[in-house]
Amino acid sequence: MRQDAQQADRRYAVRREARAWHAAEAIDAATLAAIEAAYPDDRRRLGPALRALVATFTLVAASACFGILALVTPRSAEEALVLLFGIALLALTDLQTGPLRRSQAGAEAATALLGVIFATAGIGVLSEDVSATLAALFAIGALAAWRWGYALAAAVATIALLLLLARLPGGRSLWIAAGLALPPLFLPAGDSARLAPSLRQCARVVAGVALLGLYFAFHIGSWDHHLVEELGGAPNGAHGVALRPIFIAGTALVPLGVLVYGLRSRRTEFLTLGVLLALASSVTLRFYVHVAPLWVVLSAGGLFVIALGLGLRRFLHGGPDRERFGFTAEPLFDRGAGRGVAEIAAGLAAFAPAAQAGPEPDTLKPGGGRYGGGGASGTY
Amino acid sequence: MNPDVASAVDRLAAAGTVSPEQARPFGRVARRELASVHRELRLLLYAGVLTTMAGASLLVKENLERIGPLTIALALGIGAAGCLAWVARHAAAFSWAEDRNSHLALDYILLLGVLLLGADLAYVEAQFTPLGSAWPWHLLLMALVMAALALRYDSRVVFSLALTTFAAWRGVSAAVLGQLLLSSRADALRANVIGCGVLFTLLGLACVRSGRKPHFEPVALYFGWILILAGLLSGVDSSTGAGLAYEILLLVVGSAVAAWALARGRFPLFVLGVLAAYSGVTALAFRSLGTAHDLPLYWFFFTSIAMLFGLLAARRHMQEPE
Repeated sequence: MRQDAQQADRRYAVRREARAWHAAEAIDAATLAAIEAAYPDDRRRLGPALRALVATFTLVAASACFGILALVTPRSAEEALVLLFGIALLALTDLQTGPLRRSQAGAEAATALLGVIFATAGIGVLSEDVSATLAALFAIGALAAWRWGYALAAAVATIALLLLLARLPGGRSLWIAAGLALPPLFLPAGDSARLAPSLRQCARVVAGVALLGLYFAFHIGSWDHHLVEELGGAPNGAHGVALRPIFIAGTALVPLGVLVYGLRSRRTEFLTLGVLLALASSVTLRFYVHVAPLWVVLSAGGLFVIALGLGLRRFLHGGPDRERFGFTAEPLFDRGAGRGVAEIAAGLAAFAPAAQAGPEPDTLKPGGGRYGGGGASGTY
Repeated sequence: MNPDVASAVDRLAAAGTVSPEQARPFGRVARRELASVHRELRLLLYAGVLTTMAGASLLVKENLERIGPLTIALALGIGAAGCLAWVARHAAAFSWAEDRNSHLALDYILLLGVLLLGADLAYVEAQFTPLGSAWPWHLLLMALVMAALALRYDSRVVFSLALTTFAAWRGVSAAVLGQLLLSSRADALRANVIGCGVLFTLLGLACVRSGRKPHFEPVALYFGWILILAGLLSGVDSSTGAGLAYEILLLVVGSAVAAWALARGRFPLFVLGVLAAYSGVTALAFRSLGTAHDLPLYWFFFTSIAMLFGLLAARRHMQEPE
């Protein structure tokens, strides 16, 4: 990242935190104003809704621009055009984040996204080689993450690296090696004061994706069905039966390890990751071991999870100052602005009932309708 | 750990901008000496509700013969009653204002109770047909019960489900909206979509005007305008005269919504209005200019650039919180 962008990023982190303190009524408006004056922001930023709108129009404009250029480009030069257009978009991103001082303004993120896609596609169509394309995606994604601090680019680069490793001999072992090596390298960077907040976030994302890769490589289902090998384009080849217990143990131990790490380091994002991986391993267990009918497993599992949530909340709430071992169930200064919307959207997506059939009086009969009031869905 | 915030807290405390009492919790959180698992617990509870409902759904589908309809209906009813009893025990006294200190799990247990109740009602209706040919009315009944519970226990999630259940009673759902957008048929259904949208929008405005549950307004208002604009968009058809009316309406209503939202700092609604107006003007342009040759490419390029310049120029007047 440029020096000025790093400084702006650090100041923005403080300003954002101060707004969260103010939203939680921990500081008054005058204190917030004093903090914002002490940490001025020279970037041109937009709020989430306007940012999304600007990004949408930028994507449309850039895509249409490429279409127009493709119309006037000779057929023989179309492949080079893809690459050049990508490079131009990446340069445009640098211009916006540099001299134009844009950050979180939508347009620069959209040009970066399209730039990575077009530049990678350009190398892909010119080289006609999957490994070269993945290597390009890794390099361009890593560059975008390092230069502009985009966490999404860091995730894409790490995924590209894993896919590239899968294509090499011993791909699964390389995934495990990467999953074991990258987190210790990148997690300290996630706390380093030398890096700007966006770069620290990129480092944490790399570690998180590497851990996901580790879980996938160790997952018994992925071992049994040769999924890593399939991703590497070489699905054939039998695994040794002797190694299977290692992968059974790995399916159980990796989520546990991530959970323990999340608890010890108080990194809540890794706690979440650990919980999700543990849920995935529980589902895997149901596939391999028939402990009870599925409806029993789901109902009992769901009720257990609810009880676990209630119990944890009660345990933390009962501690001195409502905290235990450095954890609390209180929201603290959590910026929950978008959370309500996300929960409502998730609730509607999962539980909204199916509409009744259209007005066809002759075919409307009692019973036999969709069972779905209140959100459940199904038919008889 | 956030070293920038941690050092800023020390500096602000030293300068007297924040008091030592204020600085202590800020610094602890920034140094990760104290972490909140509030969000993680909510995720856990939501996953629990989702999984339990999936199990309940399978229970009624797969065990009808073995367990019998009465037992299943009773089991669902007991489950729903248990959840609602828990909610009643842990909820604060009723108030028209927002309850900011409600129990972390209240929303989720209420949601589970309402979903089990809905499933039970639908199951009873399907098995015993007490409503006869009027069976779709169970959706209206459920919507009203949900709305009442949402108001009593101050749950926006359940309120949003009440709205979608009401819309489902009128034959409107996300899947139906998708079908409407893909075809220009079903005028009656479109009228229902727009009608529901108008009703929800008015309901949202009534919440604010009356000062009763004003924090429910965004749910009703956004849902309402999405339905209205999607209904108008579904009527766009370059081959008919009625399509022209919908295109003009989309442009006019979208512009009005955008202007209204901008004046009140309602930025997501502003975005919705701008996109609707843009869709309307694009449809009108294609109607008069045609879509032959490469015109759409040029249209989208130049109009998007114009929109970008307009938005970036107007940025100073649009102070949306970051």
